[in-house]
Amino acid sequence: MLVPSSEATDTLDSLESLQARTLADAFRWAWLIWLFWAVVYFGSVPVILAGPDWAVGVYWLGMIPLAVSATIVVLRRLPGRAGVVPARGWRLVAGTIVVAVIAFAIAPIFPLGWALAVSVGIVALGWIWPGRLAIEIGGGLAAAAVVLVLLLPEREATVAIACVYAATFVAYAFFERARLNSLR
Amino acid sequence: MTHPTSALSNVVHQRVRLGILTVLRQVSRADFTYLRDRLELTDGNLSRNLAVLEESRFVTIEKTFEGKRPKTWVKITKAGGRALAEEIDALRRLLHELELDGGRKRQ
Repeated sequence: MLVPSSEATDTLDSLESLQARTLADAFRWAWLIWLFWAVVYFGSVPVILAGPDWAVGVYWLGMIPLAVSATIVVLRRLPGRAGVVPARGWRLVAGTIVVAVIAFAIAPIFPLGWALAVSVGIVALGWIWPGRLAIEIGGGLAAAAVVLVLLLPEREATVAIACVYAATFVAYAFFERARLNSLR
Repeated sequence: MTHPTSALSNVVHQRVRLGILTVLRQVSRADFTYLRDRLELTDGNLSRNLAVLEESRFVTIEKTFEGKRPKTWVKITKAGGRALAEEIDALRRLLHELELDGGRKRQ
């Protein structure tokens, strides 16, 4: 079998490009998850401002099955219809459940626990997500949440964190969409 | 030490089959239509190469129905993943060796 060096180089290059395009195809709807979380966070603001203290806990409890359903639709159903299913989809679904449950469990003990739990969750999911930027975003959001807690009274800090998270998720959703489209 | 070309597999070291395994390594599963379109192949060409890979137990093929439409899902096996990794490793070692040879000749 004769394999000249240019053929070996071309083969490796084309395989790398094929890998990137396949991942982009499989995760083409993944940006919708970030948009979903942005809507969830924006939605929590009126609940924090107008509702009693326990209302936000109930709100997040209601969001757990919705978040899991959205993750399943985006990572399993839609890719399944397109004929290419991401490899680590179930791990992301399981990760979403764990993060949501931890966030809800922490919320009554530590008022901003859910915000930190979600940030840590994003860092953890960043190891599975196709792109290390998710890890940096999770870390940045956790740091922002801590700073806001230190600077503002509890209710204002909670609202500010929800707004910062939502805005970041919207920005990342569209960035991710553009990045995946450019790879395809 | 054996030359890296001896590590290249006759089954895997073929443009279409290398492409199929590369796509499947990145995902949980892919269907026939996706593979055909992504790799720009004809139905016959893809079928023939999938048959070779299935015979070598590098992929598994499952035929299902989605509503009334038939769908053929293809998955890479552990052996297929290993074979692809070994192939890529052999190509990298080959390149490394050729670079070393080039360096020696220049000296």
